[in-house]
Amino acid sequence: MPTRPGTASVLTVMVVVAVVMTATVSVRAQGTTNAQATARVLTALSVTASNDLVFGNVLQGVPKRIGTNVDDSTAQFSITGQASATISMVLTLPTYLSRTAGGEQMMLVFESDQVVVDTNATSPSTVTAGDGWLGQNPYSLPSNAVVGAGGQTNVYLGGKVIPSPNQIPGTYEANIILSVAYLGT
Amino acid sequence: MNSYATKHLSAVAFSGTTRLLMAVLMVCLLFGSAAAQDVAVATATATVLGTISVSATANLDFGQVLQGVETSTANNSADAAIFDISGEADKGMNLVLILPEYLTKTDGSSRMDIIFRATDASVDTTGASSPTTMAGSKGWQNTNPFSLPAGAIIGSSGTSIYLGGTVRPSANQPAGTYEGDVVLTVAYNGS
Repeated sequence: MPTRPGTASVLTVMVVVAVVMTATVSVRAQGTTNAQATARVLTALSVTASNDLVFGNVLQGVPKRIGTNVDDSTAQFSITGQASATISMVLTLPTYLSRTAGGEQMMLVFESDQVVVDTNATSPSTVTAGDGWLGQNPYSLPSNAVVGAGGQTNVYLGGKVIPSPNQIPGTYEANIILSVAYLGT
Repeated sequence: MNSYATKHLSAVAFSGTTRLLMAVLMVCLLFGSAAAQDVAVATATATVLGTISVSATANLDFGQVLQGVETSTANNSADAAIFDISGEADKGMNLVLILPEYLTKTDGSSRMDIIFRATDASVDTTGASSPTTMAGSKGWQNTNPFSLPAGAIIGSSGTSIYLGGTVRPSANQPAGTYEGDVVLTVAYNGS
């Protein structure tokens, strides 16, 4: 059927308008803006065992206790990290020492006041109540402990060995593990 | 159709894995090598010193006694009981004697009284195991067997305990051999 004059022109105009609209819409769809995700990683948290829990010589049947204030004998852990950041601390404590030559165990106990948390990182013999927490339970360390303002907190641990009356002479050992982690508060 | 769906799902799964890997990568980049937690291990150590031991090396011998005649054996005689103790030199120990009140005839048919006086024991820290050569300079001489010295120590060559006593046979004590146990218990006391 023949097309009427003018019809083609109308169609042409509609197509052009449609193309222009499409182009306009398309240009608007490509609008962009930028945001940034940022984070600052704070000082790494680390812990080292700087001194062992040393009972020295013990006698058969005679319990021996090491307090939290003996520089050479108290176990010492040094925690370093972001100053004032809260941390969790968990001690994994043995219940006995094993004879290094094998075949024998000796009872080891930790009483409920044998930990000191020293946020001023002084020393076992000089730490005071103002430095942190004294007389803490090693099985439940303070939940609000922090890395000290100077970036370090020390943990001091005592204990008691209970040799039996017929304990076999020799050297006995066991591992004490301190795990620390940031709490994010 | 099924083939297309399968491929499509696979493509979705791959996309999720990619996002996970990217997330892990982001975390690694964000936190780098910084440690959020750490663990340290200390060692508890102890050394148990030499075993303490005691042996009875001589019995308390009253020899022959007569009916109704009290008979004593001195702690510095050759017939005194001897206990020899060994262990860690210079360490303190607790000494406890368990003393009988009578001797029993070996066939069990009769008893004879035995007593220990407050001077019937000596503690020889030279470990000489020789009652006859005991002197006050060697430790504690003529001390109470029911309360041995609290400050007793193990000498560098051991420590010896000498014990005397007295038997009191009755006037009609049946003839025969009589015996009783004397027990010495020793233990370190941590001093």
